[in-house]
Amino acid sequence: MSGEQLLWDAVRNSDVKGLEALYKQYNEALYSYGKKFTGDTHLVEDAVQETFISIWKYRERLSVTSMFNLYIFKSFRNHLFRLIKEQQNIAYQEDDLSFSFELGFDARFIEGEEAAMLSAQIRQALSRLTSRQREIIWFRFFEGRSFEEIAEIMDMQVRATYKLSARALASLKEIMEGPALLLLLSFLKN
Amino acid sequence: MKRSVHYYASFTAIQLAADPYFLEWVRFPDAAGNQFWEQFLLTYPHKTTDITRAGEIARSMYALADKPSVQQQEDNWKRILAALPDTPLALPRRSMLRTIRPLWTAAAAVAVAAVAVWLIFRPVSKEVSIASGYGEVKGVSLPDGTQVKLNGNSSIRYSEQWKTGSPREVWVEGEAFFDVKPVASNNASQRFEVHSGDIDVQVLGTSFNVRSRRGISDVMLTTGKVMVAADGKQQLLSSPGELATFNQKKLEKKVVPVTNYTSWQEQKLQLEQTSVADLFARLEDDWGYNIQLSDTSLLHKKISGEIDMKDKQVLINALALILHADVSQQGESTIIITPN
Repeated sequence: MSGEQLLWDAVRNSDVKGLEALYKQYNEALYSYGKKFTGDTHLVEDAVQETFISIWKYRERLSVTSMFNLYIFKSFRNHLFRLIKEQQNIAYQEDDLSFSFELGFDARFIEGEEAAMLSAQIRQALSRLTSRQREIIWFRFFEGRSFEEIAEIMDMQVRATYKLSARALASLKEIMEGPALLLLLSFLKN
Repeated sequence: MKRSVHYYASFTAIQLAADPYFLEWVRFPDAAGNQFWEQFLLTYPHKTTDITRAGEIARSMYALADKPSVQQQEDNWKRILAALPDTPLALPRRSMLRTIRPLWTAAAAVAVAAVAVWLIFRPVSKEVSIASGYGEVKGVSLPDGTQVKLNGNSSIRYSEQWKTGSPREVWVEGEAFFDVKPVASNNASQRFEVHSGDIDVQVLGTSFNVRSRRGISDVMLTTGKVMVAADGKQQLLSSPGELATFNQKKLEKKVVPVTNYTSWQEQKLQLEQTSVADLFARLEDDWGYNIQLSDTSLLHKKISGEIDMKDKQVLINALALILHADVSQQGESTIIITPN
């Protein structure tokens, strides 16, 4: 029996302590994931709250096992998207969303101008991808999630995540081999 | 990986670190990748240092995380609690531990119980909190060996043990100076984070000063590099003396003399075009003085110089000299200033 399963059972037994422990375990990660879709702090906070309130509301019907971690991210993602849609109050498509994140490096390996350049280059390459592609890259590269997990959270077929990620990598490569890389090359030669 | 190893012949470490295939291999090594890069090194043995460095850079790369403050987290939990449909607080307190104890007894799994209790109550336990009195400069050594100096009337809070893989986090009220101990190179993901007032500081191996008083927070860098975040905004400090200030929802950056923000560690006040109002605020906040001034026009005056705080009489003489005023002490902590 994993620790998380115990917390989860506690929630099903209407023990609010279990919910609180889950909240403490996940709220930071959800918040930081949400902030990559929108700068609106309140919207993200609302989505976190709604996620936990709905877990409580439907606790008796939930049959989550080892997938809890994915379920909570998926549920949060849905709540957040609905709130964003309500706020924009216009016809909305998932493609309109812009998932974005900033990069950092360990200063012991790279710093100053070199770090700024590398980060600018990767940022520029990422900015040419679609929001979904960036989201997949973030989950895969920085969160270390498997394609199966990403597919579950983003509600898509596993094969589609492979394809999207391969396409993302291919366009990254194309972009980096293009003018940006030439510029970098000439810069480094000086 | 369908390209020839020769493609990478003239790549520098930086270029390698930006190459998607190299990145993917570093993050998710597989047999094909290993074979390819081994082949590359056999063909171009002089590129070994570049590959090593590129690997270090790529492994150390992380996506910056925007985190909720402790206050935010607590407030959000309160809102959730208030919105739960059948108010759990009104429910009979059914402790989960009691409900499932028979199962454990049957399994005689005492160890499991201990782990479960630890998991459930972990977030509230094992916290260390250290505070300093007025005028006291206190040294604190964190679990990872990082050295912290606390200025007077300040406190620091952190967890007794830091898990590998999660960030090293501390919370500061008042003012503190950090000399962060770098982590072993195989553990580059263990960032150091300081939360103070409304700001979060993400540290990239470094020393810096952080201060939060009267709703204003600032971070001054001494060495290395830090990322300061507040209210969704970010500022990177990368050279000594860079100061980020968060005041009234604005995060601004400027350059200041380093000693103005670090001299308190030697119990000295370094002033450089500091307003008298700011000096008095410091005397009240850090040293616990209560200052009584009959002529408020003095407050806008700018002063420069160094005051040794170890001796109260020196402070009083210095104030008299700087302000051209009669300065007298009443009781332990009241200073009365009357302009000449």
